[in-house]
Amino acid sequence: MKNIQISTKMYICVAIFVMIIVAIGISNIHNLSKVDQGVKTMYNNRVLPLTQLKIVSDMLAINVVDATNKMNNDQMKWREGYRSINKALDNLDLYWNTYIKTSIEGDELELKNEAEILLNQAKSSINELLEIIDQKDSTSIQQLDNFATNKLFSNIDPFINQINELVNYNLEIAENIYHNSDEIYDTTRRVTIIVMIIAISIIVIICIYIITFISRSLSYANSVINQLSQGDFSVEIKNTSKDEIGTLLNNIKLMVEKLKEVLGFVQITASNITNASFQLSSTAQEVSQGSSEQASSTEEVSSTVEEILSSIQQNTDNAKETEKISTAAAIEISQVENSSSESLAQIKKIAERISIIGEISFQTNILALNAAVEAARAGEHGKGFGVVASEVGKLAERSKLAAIEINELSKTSVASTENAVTQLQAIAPNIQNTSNLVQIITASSLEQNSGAMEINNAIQQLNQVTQQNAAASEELATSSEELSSQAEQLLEIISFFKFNEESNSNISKEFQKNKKKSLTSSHTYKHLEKNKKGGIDLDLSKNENVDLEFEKF
Amino acid sequence: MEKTKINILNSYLTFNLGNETFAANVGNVLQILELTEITKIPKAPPYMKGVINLRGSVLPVIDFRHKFNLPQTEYTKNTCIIVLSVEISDETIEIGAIVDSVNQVLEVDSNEIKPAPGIGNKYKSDFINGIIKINESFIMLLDINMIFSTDDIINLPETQEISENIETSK
Amino acid sequence: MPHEESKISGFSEMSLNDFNRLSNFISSNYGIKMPVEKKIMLECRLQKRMRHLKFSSYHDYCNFIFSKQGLVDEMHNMIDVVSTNKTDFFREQKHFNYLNNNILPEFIGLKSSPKTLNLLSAGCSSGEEAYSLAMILNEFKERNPDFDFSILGTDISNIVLNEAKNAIYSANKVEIIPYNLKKKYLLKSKDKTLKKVRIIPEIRAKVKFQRLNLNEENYNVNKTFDIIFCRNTLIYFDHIVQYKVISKLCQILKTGGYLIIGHSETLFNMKLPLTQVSPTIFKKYEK
Repeated sequence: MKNIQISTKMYICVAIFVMIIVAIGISNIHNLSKVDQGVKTMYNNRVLPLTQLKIVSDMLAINVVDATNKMNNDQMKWREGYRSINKALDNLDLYWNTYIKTSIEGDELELKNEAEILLNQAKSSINELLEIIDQKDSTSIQQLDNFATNKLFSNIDPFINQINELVNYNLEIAENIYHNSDEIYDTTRRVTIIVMIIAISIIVIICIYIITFISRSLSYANSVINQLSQGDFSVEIKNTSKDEIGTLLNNIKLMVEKLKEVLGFVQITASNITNASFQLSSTAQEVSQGSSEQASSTEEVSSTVEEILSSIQQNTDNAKETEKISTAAAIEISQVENSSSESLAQIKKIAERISIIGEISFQTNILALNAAVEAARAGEHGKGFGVVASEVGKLAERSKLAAIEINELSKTSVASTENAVTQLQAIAPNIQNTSNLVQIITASSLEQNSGAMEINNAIQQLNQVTQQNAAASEELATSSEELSSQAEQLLEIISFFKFNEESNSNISKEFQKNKKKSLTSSHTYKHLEKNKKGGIDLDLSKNENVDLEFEKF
Repeated sequence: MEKTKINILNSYLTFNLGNETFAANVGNVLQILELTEITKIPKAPPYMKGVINLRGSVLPVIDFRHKFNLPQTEYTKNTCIIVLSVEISDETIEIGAIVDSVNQVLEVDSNEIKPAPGIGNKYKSDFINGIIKINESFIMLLDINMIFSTDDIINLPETQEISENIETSK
Repeated sequence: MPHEESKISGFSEMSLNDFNRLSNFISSNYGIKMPVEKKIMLECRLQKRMRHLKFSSYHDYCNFIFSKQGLVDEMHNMIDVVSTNKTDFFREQKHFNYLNNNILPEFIGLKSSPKTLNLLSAGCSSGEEAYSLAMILNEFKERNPDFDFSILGTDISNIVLNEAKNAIYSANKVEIIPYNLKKKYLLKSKDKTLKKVRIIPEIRAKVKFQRLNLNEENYNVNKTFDIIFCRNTLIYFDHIVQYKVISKLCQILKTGGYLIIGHSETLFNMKLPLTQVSPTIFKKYEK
C-alpha cells in the first residue's frame, strides 16, 4: 500500500467514484427514459387522443348541436349556422383522422371501430342537417328543431357516448401508465438511495483513508521542513515510502545533506576570511608604517639633495669667479710679460749706455793714468798736472764705480724682472690648468646638478608612490575591517544553523579570538618616562630695518 | 832722458796680472793704451802676441802673462797695453805689454820698499826690484829692463822688421 | 672597521656605542626615530658641527655633547642639524583648497562675531607653511571683514625658526606662488643679483613663532586652536610617539576644529576623538 503512488490511489478512487456515479446515472437515465417513454406514450397515445376525442365530441356537441339550437332560437343566422356546422364537420374529420393515426391497439381498436361506425351515422345526420339548413328559406325553425330533436341528436349521441368510452378507455390506460411510472419512480428512488449511501460510504472511507494518508505524510514532511526552516539541520528524516511524498522527503534529505555540506564549507571559509582579514589588517599597518618611514627617508634625502644642489650652485659660482680671476690673471701676466720685456729692453738700453759710460770712464782712466805717468816723468814740474790727472782719475773711477753700480742694479733689475717673468710664466701653465680645471669643475657641476635633479625627480616620484601606498594601505585597512565585519555577519547568520552542538561555538570562539588579536595590537602603548625640560628660548630680534633691503614686486 | 834720472823717480804705475799686482816705474812707462786689435806675426815666439800700430810705427806686443808663466786668459775690457820703454844692450826700444788691468800711479817712498824674497821663486826674482805693501796687499816692483834682457828680446829687431813689412804691405 | 677613514670626510667611522648613545637620547627626548639604518645619515649631519667646532672624531664630539657645557651650548645646535627641515610654499595644494572651500566658510557660518581663527602650524620649519596659510587667510579676510586670524608656528630647531622670523627666502622657493599673491605679499631684494624675497611686514605681524618640542609632556601653549596643521612631522616619530603627539594636539584643538596631517601619514587604529572628513583631514567631535 505504501508504495502505490498517491496519484494512482487518487485515480482509483476517482475511477470508483466515477463508475458508481455512471452506474447510478445509467440506471436512473434508463428508468427515467422508461418514465419518459411512459409519459410520451401517455401524451401521444392518451392525452392527445383525449384532446382529439374531446374536440370531436365538442364539434358535435357544441358546434353542431349548439348551432342547431341557436338557429332554432333564432340566435344565429342560417348562413352562419351552415358555415359553422360545416366547419365543425371539417374539424371533426380532421381531428378524427388525426386520432385514427395514433397508435390504437387492442381494446381500443375495437372501440374505435365501433366509434367509426357511429361516426358515419352521425356525419350522415349532420349532412342531412346541412341540407336542411341549406334550404333555409323553406325550412323553418320548427323543421330544424324537429330534425334536430328526432334524428340529429339521436345519431350524434351514440357517437358521443362511444367517444366517451374511448376517453375512459384512454384514461384507464393513462392511469395504468401513471401507476407504472410511479412504481418505477419508487423503485428507482429506493435503489438510488441505497446505492448512493453505499457509494458514498465507500467513497468517504476511501477518501478519508487517502486524505489521512496524504495528510500524515505531508504533515511529516511539513514538520521536517519546519524544523529545517528553524535552522535545525540535525533533524533525521525517516522515510520508507516511495510515493511522491516519499520522493519529496528523499529529496529534502538530499537537499539537507547538500546544505550541510555547503554551510559547513561556508563556515570554514568565513573562518578563513576572518584570518585573512586579520592578516590584511596587520599587513596594512605594516605598509602604513613602511610608508611613514619611506616618507621620512624621502624627506631626509630630499633635504640633503637640496643642500647638495645649493653647494653645487656655490661650486659653480666659485668656479665662475675663479675662471674670471684666472682669465684676468692670464691677461695680467701677459701684460706683465709685455711690460717686463719692455723694461728688459729698456734696461738693456740702459746697460748699453752704461757700458758706454764704462768705456768712457775706462778710457778717461787710461788718459788720467797716462797723464799721471807723464806728470811723474816730468817730475817736479808735473806735480800740478799730476794732481789734475789724479783728480780726473778719481772722477773716472767714480763714474766707473757708478757705472758698475748702475750695471749691478740693472743686472739685479733684469734678474729680478726675468725671475718675475719666469715665475709668472711658470704660473701661466698653472693658470691654464686652473682654467681647464675650472671648466672641468663647471662641467662636473652641471652633471652633478642634473644628477641631483634626477634624484629630486626620483624622490618626487617616490613621494607619489609613498602617498599612494599610504592611501592604499588606509583603504586596505578599511577594507579589511569591512571584510572582517562581513565575515562576522556571515558567521552570525550561519550560527542560525545548528548542525551539532559543538561546532558552532568553536567557530564563534575562534572568531572572537582573532578579533581581539587585531584590536589589541594597536593598543600596546608603553608608558613613557617623564622628560626633563630642555630647550633654549629664542631671542626676539628686531628685523624691521632688514626690510629696507627689499622693495615691492 | 838719462838712465840714472829714470831710476831715481819713485812713481810707479801699478797693474794686475792674474791675482798679483805689479808696478812699473813710470820712467819705463810711456803710455797706456786700450787693448786694440793685434796683428799676429807668423813664426813668432809664443810670448810675442803680435804688433799694433802706434802713432804710425809698429809696436811689438808681448804677453806679460807668459813671461810670468801664467796661463793665458781671455782679454777683458780692462785689459790694457802698457807701452814700455826698455833699455836693452844700449838700445831703447818700445814694447807693448798686455796686462789684465792698470790701476794707478803711486808715489812710493823708498823706505817702504822691501827687498824681494829669495825663497820659492814664482817668478825670476831678477825681475823684481822689491815689494811694497799698500793696504794689506803686496805689490811687486818690476825691473822692466831686466825682464826684457833675455833671449826673448834678441829676436826682437827681426820681428820688428817682419812686422814693418807686413805693415807696409797692408 | 672602526678605524677605517672615510676618504671623503676624513673622519673615521662612528662607533656603535656612540651611535646608540646619541640615538637613544634623540629618540627619548625628541621622539625622532633614529634606527641603526640612519647611522650614516647621522654621521653626515654631525660632520657640519664637528667641522665648525674642529672636532676630529665622533667620539670626542659625542663626549662633548653629553658634557655639562655641551648640553647647554651644543645640544640645541645638534638637534638643529639632526632634524630634517624640508618644506615648501603651498605644499599639498589639496589642503589649502579644502581650507578655502570648506573649513573657512563653515567657520564664518558658525561663530558669532568677532570671528578670530587660531591656527597652529606644528613642525613649521622655516615658515613656508605658516606664511602660505597666512596668505590664504588674509585673502579670505579681505572678502569677509568680520573675520580675523592669528597663526602660531612651532618647531624644535632654532635655526629654522630664526629663518622663519626673518621671512627671507630665495626666489626659486617662491616660484610656485601664484603671481597675484606674490605681488601682494612679497617684497623682492633691491640687489638684483641676490635673488631673494621677503614676506611683507603686515603678514609677518600675523604669524608668531615659538620653539616647541612635540615630545614634551606639556606643551607650553596657552590657547586652543581652530585648526592644527601637523604635516610631515609625524613621519619622524615611531608609532607610540605619534599617538602621544596626536593626543596632545587633540587636547589643544577645539571641538569641531580640524587637524590636518601629511599626505603619507595615517591615524589608522588610533583611538582618538576624530572623524575623517577627507583623506588626511580630521575633525574633532564631542566625546
